[in-house]
Amino acid sequence: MAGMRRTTITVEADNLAAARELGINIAEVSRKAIAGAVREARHRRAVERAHRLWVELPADREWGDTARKVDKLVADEMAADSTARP
Amino acid sequence: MTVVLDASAMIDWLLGRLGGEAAADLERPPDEGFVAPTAFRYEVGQYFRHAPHNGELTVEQATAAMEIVADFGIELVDVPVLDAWQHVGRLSWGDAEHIALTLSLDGGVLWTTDARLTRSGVLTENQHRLLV
Repeated sequence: MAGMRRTTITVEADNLAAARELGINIAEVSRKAIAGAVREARHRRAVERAHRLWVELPADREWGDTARKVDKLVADEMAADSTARP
Repeated sequence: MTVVLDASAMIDWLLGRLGGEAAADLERPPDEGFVAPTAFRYEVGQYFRHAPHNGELTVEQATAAMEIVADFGIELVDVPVLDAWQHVGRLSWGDAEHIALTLSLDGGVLWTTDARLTRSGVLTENQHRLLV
């Protein structure tokens, strides 16, 4: 399907046998492996999208101090809320 | 090592403002992944909510930034309110939550672009990293 990424998880037969011998819950391990693979794939997608976003942004823009801007935005909103009438 | 990601670091990375090494480290998450206090989401959201109004980004770019945040895989932690309260004297509430979370973690390190946070003296040299 277009736009979908396939991630393959392989469990080696030797590992499977060893896991059984050690009493490891295969289903639980698989769930964790799948969750980890999904997390990695989403993170990879995020990085790729960020790189595309950077290309769109003007290189010579002066952004200012990010932390100070965040503090000011949060403070401004709180001030606006405190003066808002119900 | 568990990395606490500061909102300013996330925003600066999203805007392509981090240097090569810092950006590369952010793009290659630690085994434990990144964690952040719930204030992180509020701070990042506020920034990108206002960015189109300030003329810094288009609505589409701001939306893309938030979608990237959603995909980034940051585990949000609800910091106990009194843990943050201990640090709020000299810091904003968001900063206090980031500091409290870092201190609560065994081997926690705060990655930030906010030099004021690293100079605050609350965290030791091993507990913070200033990304440039």
